[in-house]
Amino acid sequence: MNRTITNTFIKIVSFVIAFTCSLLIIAVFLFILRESLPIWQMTNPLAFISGREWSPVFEPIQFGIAPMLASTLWVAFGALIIAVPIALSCAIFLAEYAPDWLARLLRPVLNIITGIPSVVYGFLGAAVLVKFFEVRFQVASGESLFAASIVLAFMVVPYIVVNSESALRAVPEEFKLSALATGVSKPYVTMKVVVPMAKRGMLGSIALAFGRAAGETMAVLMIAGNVLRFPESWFSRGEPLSALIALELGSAAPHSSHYQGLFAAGLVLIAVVTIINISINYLVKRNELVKY
Amino acid sequence: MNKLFDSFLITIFWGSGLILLAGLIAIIAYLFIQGGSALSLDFLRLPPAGSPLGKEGGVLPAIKGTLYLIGIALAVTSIPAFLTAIYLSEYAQPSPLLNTMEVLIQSMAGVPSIITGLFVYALCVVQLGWGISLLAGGVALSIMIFPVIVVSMRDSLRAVDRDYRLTGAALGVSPAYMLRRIILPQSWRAIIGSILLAMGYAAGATAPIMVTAAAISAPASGNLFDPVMALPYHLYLLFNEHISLDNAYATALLLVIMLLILNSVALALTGTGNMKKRR
Amino acid sequence: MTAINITDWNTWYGDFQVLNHINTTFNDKTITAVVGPSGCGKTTLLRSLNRTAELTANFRFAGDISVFGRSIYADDPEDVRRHIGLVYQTPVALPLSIRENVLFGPRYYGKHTRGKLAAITEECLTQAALWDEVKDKLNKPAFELSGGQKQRLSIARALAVNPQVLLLDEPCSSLDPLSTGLIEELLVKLSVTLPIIIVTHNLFQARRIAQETVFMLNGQIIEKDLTSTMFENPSHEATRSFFSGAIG
Repeated sequence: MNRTITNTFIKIVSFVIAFTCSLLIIAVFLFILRESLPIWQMTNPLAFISGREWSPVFEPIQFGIAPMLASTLWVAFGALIIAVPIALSCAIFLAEYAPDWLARLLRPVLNIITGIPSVVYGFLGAAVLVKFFEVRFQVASGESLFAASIVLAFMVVPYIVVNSESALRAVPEEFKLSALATGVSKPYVTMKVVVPMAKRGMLGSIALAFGRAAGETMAVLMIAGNVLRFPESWFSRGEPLSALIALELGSAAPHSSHYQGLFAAGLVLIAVVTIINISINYLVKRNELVKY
Repeated sequence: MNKLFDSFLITIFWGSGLILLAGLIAIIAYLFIQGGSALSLDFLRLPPAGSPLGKEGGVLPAIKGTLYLIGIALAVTSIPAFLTAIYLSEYAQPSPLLNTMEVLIQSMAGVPSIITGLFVYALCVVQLGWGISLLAGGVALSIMIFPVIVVSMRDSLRAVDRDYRLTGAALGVSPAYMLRRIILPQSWRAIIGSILLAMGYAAGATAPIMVTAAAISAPASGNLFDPVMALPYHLYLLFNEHISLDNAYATALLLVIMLLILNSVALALTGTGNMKKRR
Repeated sequence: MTAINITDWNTWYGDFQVLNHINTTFNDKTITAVVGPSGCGKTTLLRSLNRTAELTANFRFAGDISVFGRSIYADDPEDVRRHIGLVYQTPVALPLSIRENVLFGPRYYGKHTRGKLAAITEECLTQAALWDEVKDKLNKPAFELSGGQKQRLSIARALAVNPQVLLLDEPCSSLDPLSTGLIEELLVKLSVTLPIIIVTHNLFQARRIAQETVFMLNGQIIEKDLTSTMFENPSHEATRSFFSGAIG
């Protein structure tokens, strides 16, 4: 019958497309792996990750991304240190305490924060925050991983808030009500009952935010300082992996060692971020099937 | 003692909400203050001028370039994304395969945009020989927004009342018929909203186009294989190369206004709750 | 005459067995009520009949069901569902006009002329005791109807595809007594032409409209007989105590 044929056709076509597209991430990964292969054959991976000298063009040619990897991790964890307390508090606020009018005001606010492009954050961070550090602390350059962490923190807060709020709201009312019925205060119930039950979702949102911060390019490009030295402290300047790739890709001769080295760096970045994302997605999906 | 701790906690909870509100207001206000004067009609109409380029004049070619890039990204990605969303929402049976597919697509959203740029650089710019081009940039953006659109559309479709689907199944009609008569008519607004959100996301993306399409100065001829200017990259250059702080602020303000409008319309169409799917 | 024949029917959701060795028949041109406590499998039995049970993941079955002599597994599920109508507990008005609600199935199944479609609309709405109330507003959105009207609309929608059997799952449980009365009346009229099976938790309803009643407990059929017999002189102790709640 005509309708069945149309339906079957659509079913097949949509499956083929969906299947192919879901393989895209694998294709990207494999492609980058292929382009970087010579590096992995030339340098032992451990040396690549821990090597402190990045000298892709000038003799002696060395490929070590430790400073960049350290910058990436530092800037991302730093962002989390700043963002997580504020974001989780805000999520708790929205889920449990905010009066309706304020909640309805705050949600679009969070939405808008994510809608502002990262280059604008980078720009404001560089024009305002960095300048502020230079003036306030009388330093030659206010650029630092710390400044970058501050800006990244602001950028990732909404993601943590929204996902954590969902997790908090998902806690069944009965638990809150029975706890309150024993006569304890609401904050007590919040911290002792609601938050522990939403832990998984909240942790998932933090991991997601880590991925976002570690992969961010423009904000760190404009604020972190772009110095290839191994960062001594949070207040040093640094060059995260994403900035390294963005800055040097244009000048690397295609298929040269430099080119391959950048792909190797990209592979490390994607590995760090994707592994965290996939595991968190599986965990959360499994969690969705678990009923209390 | 408990009461004190309670008040402390409540203060923290309220404080965090207000910090974010204040932060955002400060940012937007600051942009308006600093950039408002330079953001004139001329700024929108004219190409960059002066020495160095961009010190005077406007950003017209960058606006055009951004629009072309978004256009290509949408053209490439909308139909595959829509079909994928339909499959995931209406046809797929719960199974390990479905789970894997959804995880893979969702994980794509977590791939840093510079990596997407890296991939497209190697594939399109170098291997296929397109060079730094509008087409390569469009492709990079399309890959970047694909998972965002899919998840958003899929959720919009799924949001349609389950009772309708049960009724249709009991009558023996096909999913395609349900889509055509009930599900799409109910969800098309949210689907358009998904597309608008993705457009906004693509418009602001700098890293992927920086390495595949963007140039300091290029006429927006519309030629697929020419480099293009783009607003976010233009902003980056204006600031980084110390060309013009005023114009940088104006460009930033322009970008933010554009995105505010796009996101507001998108939100009005989809309703809130869509954000956690976006990355 | 036997309309439906269920032979050694068992169903599982995963490892959990819901229906256990169901053996029974349902007669044509009769209303049969299916009663029993919550969780006894009444709804699963209904959904097995029109093959919507298999839409749930992990559904397994054993045994056979045949309708007017033909096994329901001999044809595609879509065809089976068309011929065995099912009306759910929640009144559902599709987001379409009243007319389009009724014509939802017919438009899928074949190309009819305008005249034929209008005839189907009027006939089914009349059989569902709704025609007089909506004949002047067929183009209005169906969600504007009341709960009772929506449920009658659902019946009209199911009738529009010419089913051989009509199944109803607690159709009146969310309705007021007046709407319930209207629906019971129309079911009695329909039963002149069709076998009707109605799952209900309301024993009085069974008494009012069903010629025969099936009593289920824990996935099994305990007893099936004329409704009057089930009330006055049941064979099983379990039946007696269940029905005594209604009489006492």
